[in-house]
Amino acid sequence: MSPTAPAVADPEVVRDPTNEDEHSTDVPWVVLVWNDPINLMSYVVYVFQKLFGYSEAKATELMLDVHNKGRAAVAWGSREKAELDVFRLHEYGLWATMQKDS
Amino acid sequence: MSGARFGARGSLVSVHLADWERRLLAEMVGELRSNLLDHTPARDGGDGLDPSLRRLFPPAYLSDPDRDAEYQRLMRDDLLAERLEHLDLLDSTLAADHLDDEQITAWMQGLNELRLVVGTQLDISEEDDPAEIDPHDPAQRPRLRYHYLGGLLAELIDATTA
Repeated sequence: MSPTAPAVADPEVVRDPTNEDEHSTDVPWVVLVWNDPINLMSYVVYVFQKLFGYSEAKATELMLDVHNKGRAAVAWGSREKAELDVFRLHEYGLWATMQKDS
Repeated sequence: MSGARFGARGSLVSVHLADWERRLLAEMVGELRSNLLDHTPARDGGDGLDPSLRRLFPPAYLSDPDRDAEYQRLMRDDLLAERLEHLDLLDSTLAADHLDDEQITAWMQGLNELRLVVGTQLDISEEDDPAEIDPHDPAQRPRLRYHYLGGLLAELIDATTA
């Protein structure tokens, strides 16, 4: 499932305990998308569906959260996964950031 | 606007742009490509970045400058390469009469980037009303282009999700 680490047979087993802060699934990272005046609402819905496989209804709900509340959490996971998601959102021109889920 | 500029055709999208539109897009893509090549400093975390390109290279970590600097060091070159790649694909398919999936993605990302740059230069607001623009005022050309790009992108999304 992980496109960035295909060689590791079982990441649960080989996880480095000294690096727990970065890799623990107990402390996931959250990817936020922020409101901006430029990106079209239909474009944001399209990108959420395309990148994360959300239904149109779910993608629309998230887009409206971005629009009305200023931001929305769109994805969660390890730091590596969150960085990849942020990169893909930046590729599409969305204003995405990541932080530790609190 | 008479006639749809994009149409759904199976897994493809057909393109019906006037010659002036294809020329305008080629001009804008060329300008953005030059701007990216001239003004995107590699791996410096944002210093020296042309202000109009700021939205194309946003921060990944808002409240952690060290991590963000590291992220930019690792990712900015890749992001620049991706942007140049899909601008090239958009440019090379401007005369096409239909687009496949990969080309559609390149068009969407490219049109949106052009719009982000023009919108940033204009410091545009969500309420900006194209009906208020005097089309004969040369100073209003960037605003016209901004709204033109928005209309075109919206039509492409409609055709793709139809």
